[in-house]
Amino acid sequence: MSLEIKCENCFADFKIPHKVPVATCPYCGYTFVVDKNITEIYYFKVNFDSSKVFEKLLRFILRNFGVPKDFISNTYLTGYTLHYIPFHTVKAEAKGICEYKEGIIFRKGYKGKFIQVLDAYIPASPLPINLEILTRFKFGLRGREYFKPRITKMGKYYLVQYDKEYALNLARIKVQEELMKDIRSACAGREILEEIKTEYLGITYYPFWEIFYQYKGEKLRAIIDATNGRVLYSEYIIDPKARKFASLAAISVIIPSTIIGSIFGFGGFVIGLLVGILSSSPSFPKIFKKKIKAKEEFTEFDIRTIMLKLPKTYSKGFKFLIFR
Amino acid sequence: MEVEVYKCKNCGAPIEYTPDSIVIKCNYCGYYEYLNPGFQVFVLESLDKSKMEEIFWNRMRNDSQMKKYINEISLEQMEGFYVPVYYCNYFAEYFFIGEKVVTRTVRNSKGRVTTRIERIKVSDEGEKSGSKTLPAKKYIEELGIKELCFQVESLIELEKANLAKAEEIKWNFKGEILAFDFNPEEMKKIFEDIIAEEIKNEIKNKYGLSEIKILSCNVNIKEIIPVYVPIWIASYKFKDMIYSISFNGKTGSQLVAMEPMFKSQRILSVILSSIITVLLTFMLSSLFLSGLFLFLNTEILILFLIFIIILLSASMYFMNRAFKGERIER
Repeated sequence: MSLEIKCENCFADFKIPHKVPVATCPYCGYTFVVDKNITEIYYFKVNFDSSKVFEKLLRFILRNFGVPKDFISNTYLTGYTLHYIPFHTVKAEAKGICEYKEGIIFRKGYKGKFIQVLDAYIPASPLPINLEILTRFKFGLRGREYFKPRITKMGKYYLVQYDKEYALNLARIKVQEELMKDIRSACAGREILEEIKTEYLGITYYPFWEIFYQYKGEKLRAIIDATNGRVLYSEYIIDPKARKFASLAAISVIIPSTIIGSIFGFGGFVIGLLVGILSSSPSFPKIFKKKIKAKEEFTEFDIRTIMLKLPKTYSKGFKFLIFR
Repeated sequence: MEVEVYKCKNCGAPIEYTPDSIVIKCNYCGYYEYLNPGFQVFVLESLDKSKMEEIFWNRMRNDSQMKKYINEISLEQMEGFYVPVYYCNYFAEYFFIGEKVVTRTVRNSKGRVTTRIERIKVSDEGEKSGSKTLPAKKYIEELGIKELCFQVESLIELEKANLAKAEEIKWNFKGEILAFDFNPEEMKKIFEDIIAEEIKNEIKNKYGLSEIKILSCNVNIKEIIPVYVPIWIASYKFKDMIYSISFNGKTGSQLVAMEPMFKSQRILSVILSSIITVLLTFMLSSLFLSGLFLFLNTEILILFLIFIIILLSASMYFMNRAFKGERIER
């Protein structure tokens, strides 16, 4: 699958993966276009290496509720994998009209124009089940660089399996859906789709760390964005003392409300109990589960950027796709 | 697609260039070069790093909780960014036809009470003008970006006439400079879209509409200014854990602070949740078990149910807060 090419600057020979449009010479650092017909490919740098990322993970976990005091001293790194995952990026624009015929509400009829624009990220390769969580996140475009062949040797590298047409198709369907939603919320007339434009922005490789660690024999796992060190998913074992605190908290909500309810008889008792259980429900995972899941919360801001999930089964001829 | 190799204008050394480079720095001679993105960019100049560190320590010394632990805090990192934002001035006109659901209680001649649900047609027109500031990024996830936009809006408005030009300032900024993802023309469309969406929601709330039949909204962007605004994020270590605070780099005021959650605060949250739950039980029991709800008309009953849902989510919020890893202060 690799291709031998010559650097345009220093004339050194080196290998690049097949279908890569831009190459950077490993000897002189010169970046040049290999094939002008193929789309652009970018990658994101790994800013958090394996040692830095584990340290970051431990510090993040420590900040959570009910982490045992000996967590850092008793936790061992058992393994890590760097996943470089390709995403198609597509810019999509849809235009539509909402129309009222003559005489219904307006004597002369009415036409309203609508535009919907969005940027979509579509995984270009099937994601393994343990990484499906990634489709819940959006990624920034900060620190994007032209593709360098060496990333194919860093960790697990995913080949592009779904083509450009497939990505464009998904984005087209999504933008149409969003436009129709937009029209329906502002106009009750007949909605007509005028046109859909898509622009392919290329492939972007994004790095993620999958970290495996152990606390007192319990196997745990985490997923971390390798560009900014953001903890997308992590696990820890809750301290028995913290579990006691959570149980006490739940009891101190349920019991007073049940007592107050009982004043009104049996019906009140049931209402009090139910309301108490509902109010204290956020504490239940801390009481009944040993392994707690945690993710880092970020304040985010985006302008119409959408992460599209891959449909469960992929066939080339699909037309009617339902997004959940 | 064109890929260019940049050479330092001062010493001729090759410079690493990425698709998002705005200001490039030569690693050999330290020369800075500003690459014009094709439109005039202005800058709200940042305070320097040492000044920001001073602001951080002052903030910690004045915090009612954290000042007790001042000796246990160490400042790990002070990271600065120039965030690209667009400031705009707009004027919008709108016209709409919508429907509103009203419940009416009518007493007929025999004294019987009936409740009717009616749909009423509402239409109105109006205008709105104002200003808005948004990041020129497709996606950004720094702490306190929304607050920064809000704070700089009035600053830009005040200094509009004498903002520093990007090519004229000394770029010796010790932080990252983020690229503009949109040019002014693209951003104009985005502003129009976002402002129209805001107006739609405002109308819905203001008139209590259940459905909009037609909304025509003309947003006119009168002025659009691309500006670089500084943000600083301090990461500090406290009891082996890392927390962050973000500051407005122009004025030094705090945007968002992430602080440790102390046990006393967790207990307070549980107590609050408990009190609200008791109140809720009392209200529900007295309403449904005493048959009081039979005498209330539909409108009041709906309001009452909404109030109950608000109370329930408040008590769940406090319960959830008791188990949070950190506290966010805005």
